[in-house]
Order: sequence, then structure tokens, then C-alpha cells
Amino acid sequence: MHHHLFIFNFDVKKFILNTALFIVLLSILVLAIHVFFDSFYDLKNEQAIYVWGDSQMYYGLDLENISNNTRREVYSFAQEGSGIYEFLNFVESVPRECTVLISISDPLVLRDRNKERNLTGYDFGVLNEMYKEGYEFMNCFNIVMENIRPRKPWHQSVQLLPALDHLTITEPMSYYLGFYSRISEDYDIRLRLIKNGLRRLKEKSCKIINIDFPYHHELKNKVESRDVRQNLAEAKRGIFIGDFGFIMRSENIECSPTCMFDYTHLNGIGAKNVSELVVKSLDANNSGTFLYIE
Amino acid sequence: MLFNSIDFAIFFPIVFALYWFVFGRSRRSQNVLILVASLFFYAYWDWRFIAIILISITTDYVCGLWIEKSKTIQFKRSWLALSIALNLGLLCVFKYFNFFVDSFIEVFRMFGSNLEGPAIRVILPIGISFYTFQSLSYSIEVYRGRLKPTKNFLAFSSYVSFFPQLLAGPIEKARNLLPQFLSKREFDYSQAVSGMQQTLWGLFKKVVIADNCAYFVDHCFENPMGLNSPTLFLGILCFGFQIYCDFSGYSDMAVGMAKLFGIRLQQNFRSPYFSRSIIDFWRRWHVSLMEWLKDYVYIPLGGGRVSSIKVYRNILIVFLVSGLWHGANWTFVIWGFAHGIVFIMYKIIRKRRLQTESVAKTVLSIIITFLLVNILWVPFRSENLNEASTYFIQLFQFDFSGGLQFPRMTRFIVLWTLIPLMMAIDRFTDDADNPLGTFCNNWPLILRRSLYLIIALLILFVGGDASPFIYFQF
Repeated sequence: MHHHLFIFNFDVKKFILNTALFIVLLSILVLAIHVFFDSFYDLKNEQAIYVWGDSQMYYGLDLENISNNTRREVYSFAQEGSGIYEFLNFVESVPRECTVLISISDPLVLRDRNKERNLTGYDFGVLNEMYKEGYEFMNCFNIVMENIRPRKPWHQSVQLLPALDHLTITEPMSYYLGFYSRISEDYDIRLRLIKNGLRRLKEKSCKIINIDFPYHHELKNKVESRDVRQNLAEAKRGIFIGDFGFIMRSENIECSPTCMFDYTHLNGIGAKNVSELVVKSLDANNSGTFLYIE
Repeated sequence: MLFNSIDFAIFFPIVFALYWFVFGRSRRSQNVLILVASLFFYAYWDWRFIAIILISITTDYVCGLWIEKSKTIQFKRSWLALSIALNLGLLCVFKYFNFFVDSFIEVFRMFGSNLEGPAIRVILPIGISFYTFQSLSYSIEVYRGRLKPTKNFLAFSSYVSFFPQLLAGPIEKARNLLPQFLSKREFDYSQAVSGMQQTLWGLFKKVVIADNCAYFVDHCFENPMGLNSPTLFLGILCFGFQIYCDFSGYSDMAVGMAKLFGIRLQQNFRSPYFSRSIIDFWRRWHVSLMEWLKDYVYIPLGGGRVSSIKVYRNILIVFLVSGLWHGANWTFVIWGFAHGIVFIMYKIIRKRRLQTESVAKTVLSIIITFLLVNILWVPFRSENLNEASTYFIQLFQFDFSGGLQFPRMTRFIVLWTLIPLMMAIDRFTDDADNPLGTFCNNWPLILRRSLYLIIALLILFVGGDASPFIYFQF
């Protein structure tokens, strides 16, 4: 008697079809809710200032100070642990001819894929771009799954970190040194994606300021001579200044007793100082500034 | 691999499709797939502990056969003793080793000794309390002559390791579940729909209620000293709903998924928070464990057919075992002991009064039992006895100053809007093992599907941060 590998079972097929139909309906509903949500938070104000970065940017700018000094709305998309998907999503979200403040930090390039925070809703074009540049299907799938719940993508004020007379140890030194221990496998992919994002912002005729936030001198002394740090600094300058013609501006900030809250984050006083420098840079008549803070 | 993880969402449909489309030809091939899938499921967490399940399975399989073959009662007893010793031995080593050693050292330190603990800490294999008890029930049933031992090793292995209920039960008795693995399963469309309804409902309870409650529970138990009494009281209620929805949610998913494989598991919860007494509560909460303890601990000790004092002793032993079964920590022992004492007190009071059933009295009994059970969750949730006593001291300060001290009040309000709705639907479990189905099966199709969609959307949009099931640690 001849046996087929597969068994035909009408009831099972009917059950699977009904379940699949339910999942399709559910997916359509989820997408519809996302479209509604996105339209609700859609930003069209080209006079506004749009901010993106990870925790250094989140705690490193006094949004209200910038808003008051420029008399413009400030929308910050900065979040702790922000990933490359959030950057590209941000680039797609901002209106043409707007002003953007970004911070391409070292961890953005060096952080593990599974430690990236990529929670700014759906943009399947961006996912496709990431996939083409080398992200795996499962990475993109995980981003889709993690973004099922819509979230408000921006905020307009931040509780800045307190100015204390001592350094707070939120993570041990080894945590930060870990970033610079080797060139991550995503290094080239991320740099390519950053370039793509900047190109897109340029196409939108946006005025861009990239802020390079300082490290505490203890950390800086330990990482400055490392190959990864030097390579990355060179690569970033190559992209911003070499490829996109940004103007380099180095600035010192002075605070008493310190500008830093921990090894990598500015405290409230430091954030205010940087915000004032940013306001000055906004007045400058060039489309791209690389603001290096020391 | 958690039921509420993406990994499981990929694993389960593959196993389901293979089970019915490729391996559905015979009982043997169905069992092969179940066993392989179950071992893979367990190994996904830690492959090294596969050996423990296999030891438990092989021991009880062999002991079952030898118990029947043995001619004298002494030999039968010896084989049963081997099965008990091995299963409980595994539990003692892997679950209680750290606890016994730490307690031993603590006692010595009280007398001034400077004894150091061993450098080795034993890792607890997930679900060990569940599958060792399930496997053990087989040897005991065979010994008692209630069950013929099976020669089918494959079916027996599938019975012990069946993945939907492997990690947190229900603890199935061999006479209920094993025969199902000894015959070929046929797909039943209505059972499969019922299974999906139950799985969806379990997922809702876990992700929407339990995981959201966890946020507020952690807030209260991490720093009770800074909180007022109403906040701490609501923190306790939140834990009551967290543990109920976490565990009964898991059970619903386990029973529901088993139905999709043509397997019927027993109902583990019957609306326990609608109990009219603590005795009633223990007939409705974690039914499979309480039946196990009744059959294999309480009755062998003499059950209720001995003097009152001995009955009370037996009850106390059962609850102490239940407490210790839950975890290797004095907090669980105290929790079990407290339940035992309340159970005995209720038994004494009930003997001395006439039973009258007015609506008001019933409602009052339900409220009192609910509050009592919830208050007793405090030691269960606490990390240690100090933490539990701090919580109680702070709670009974009767500090009503300020409002509720919860962060994210909107989330709190949404949660407490959903809890009564969940309880209302779950009330149907009293008579049926599928509350959602019982609630909506008579509705028109379009309304029923809309309800499923709403529940699925709530799971996706309102769910708390994903966390492992609490009972996995037991």
C-alpha cells in the first residue's frame, strides 16, 4: 500500500485556515491602529527643532532652555539605548527643511544588536533598508514584534540629572570599556546606515547639528588610546566632515564642581551649558555642524 | 521558552502541523513527536537537566513493571520505596539542598559557630516539583493496584514530559492522562476551538492582568516602609490577582494547548476567589496538587478516619508539605502552616454551628475568605520573614495620610477596570473548564470573533512587561 508523507485532514485544515484568518485580521487591525496613532503624532512643523540620540542626548540637553532661547518648539525623540532603527525612523519622520540635533554616539555604533532600543513604531521601508545592509531577518522580525504596542515617540521636557559634588557610579568602568574591546560585527553596517540617514536628511534640506558629548576624564583617559575609539572617531569625522561637509566646532564647557553625573552623562548644569552652545550653533549660517564638546 | 514568547509562537504551530499532518498516522508516531518536542522544549531552557527527567521517567517505568511482577508485598514495597526515594531524592538535591545547608549553618551560627557554607550552589531545574510528583503518582497507583503498569515506554515518557503541562502542571494522575497516550488521538474541531479559546483566555490573564499587577506588587514589596496602609493593602490584592492570573493563566494555556493535541487535562482552578471558606478555597485552588496531597499524603496518614487530634495533625502535615513544595524558603513553610491553622480552626468552628445559607451570609463569607487568603499571600511573596514582618508592621500602622502612592495611576485604573471583568468571565470556570467559551459560545459568530479580537488587542496593547511564570520556580 502506498503511503503519502502528508495526511489530508479536512478539519485540521479548516481549523488552521480559520486561525490564519484571525491572525490576518488581527494584523490588519494592529496596523490600522498604528496608522491612526502615527497620524495623531505626525509632526509637520518645519520651524520646530527635532532632537534624536541615546541617553547622552536625552540627559545632555535642556529642551526647555533651547525652546525659550530660540522661541521654537523642541521635540525630542532621544531615549536611553536608542538604536539605528530609531535613528532611521526619526530621519523619515521629520519634515523637510527643519532643524535637527542628533548625536551619533559611540555606543550607537558599537552596541550589541540585542541591546538596542528600537521602539519608535513601524517603518517597513527602514526595516527593508536595514535588511539589505546586513541585518538578519530575525532582527527585523524582533523589531516588528517589539513595536506592536504604539508609543508616543517624542517628549518636550526632561528631568535632568542632578548636579552633585561627586560622580555617581551607575555602571562600572568595565561596562564602558567593554564597548571598546573589539570592533563589533555591525560596525560597517551601522556606519553605512548612518550615512544613509544623513544623506536622507540632506535630501530633505534639513539643518543638522551633530553633538559629540564628552566622557568623564577618568573614562576618557582609559579609552582614548584604544584602537576602536580612534578608528570610530576618525570614521565619524570622515562621514560628517569629509562626506557631508559639516563644519567642525570644538567647545569647552566648565561647571563647578563637575559637569558630569556619571562616566558618560552630563548633569543638569552641563546640559544647560551644552544647550547654550547649541543655541549659538543654530544661529550660524551653515547646514551642518559637528559640535565637539570637551 | 515561555508560552508568551516569540520562540514559542514559532515552535508551537510547527509541532501542531507536524502532529496532525505528518505524525498523525498512528499512536506511536504521535507519541514520538510529543516526546521529541517536549525534550526539545525542556532542553531549550537548559539541555543538561534533560537527564533528570529521563532518570525520573526510567525509574518509575521500571519500578511500575517490577511492582506488578513482584509476588510478595515486601518486594512491591521495596520497588515503590525505590521510586519514592529516587524522585524525592532528586527533589531534595536540586530543590532543597541550598535551603537545608543554609538553615543548618544558620542554626550553628545561632550557637556562635563560624561555619562557612559550601562553595557549590545547586541550580533549580525548572518544573522539577511538577514532573517528579506526576511521575511518582504512577508508581503509587500501580502499587495500590488502581492502574495496570504500561509496557509502552514511549507512551509513558510522553505522559511524564508532555510539554504543555511539563513546567507548571496541572499535576496529572497517571490514571487520567496515561491512557490517553495509549491510544491514537483524533482531531476534534470543536475541542480545538475550545482549546484556542482557553489558550487566548490564559494568555490574557497572564499578560494583561498578572504582568501588569507585577509592576504594582514590586513597587509595594520593594519598599513597604515608604508607603501608607491603603497602598500596601492594594499591593497585597494586586499580588493576589497576579499569582492567580499567572498560575491559572498558565493552567488555562496548558489545558487549551493539550486540547489542540487531542489530550484532555484536568481543571486546575475553579474560581478560587469566590470560595465561601478556606476549605472551599483549597477545593478550588491548584486542584491537581491538593488532590495529589490528599491521595498520597493525607489518606495514607489516616485521613479523616482517625481521632480529631490526628485529623488536625494530618491537615497540618499536608499544608506544611504544600508550603515546602512551593519553595525552599521559610516564607513558604510559614504560609503553608498559616493556611493549615486557619483550615483547622474553620473545621472546628463549622462543627459547632448550623449551616444557614442566606445571600448576605454567602457574600460575607466570600469577602472574608478572599481577604484572609490575600493577607496570607504576604509571606508567600516576601523574600524572607523579615520582609514579611516589615510589610505587616507597616500595613497595620493604619497610616491613611496622602492618597494612593502608586506610580502610573492610569495604568492602575485600567488594570482595576479589567480585573472585575476578568473575574466575571472567570466565574464560569465553576462548572466549565473553558470560561471564555462558556461565556460566548451562544453569541452570533461575528460578535464572538469580535470579542476574540478585542482580547487579542488587549494582550498586545495593554500587556505588562513580559515576565516568567511565577510557578516555574517551584
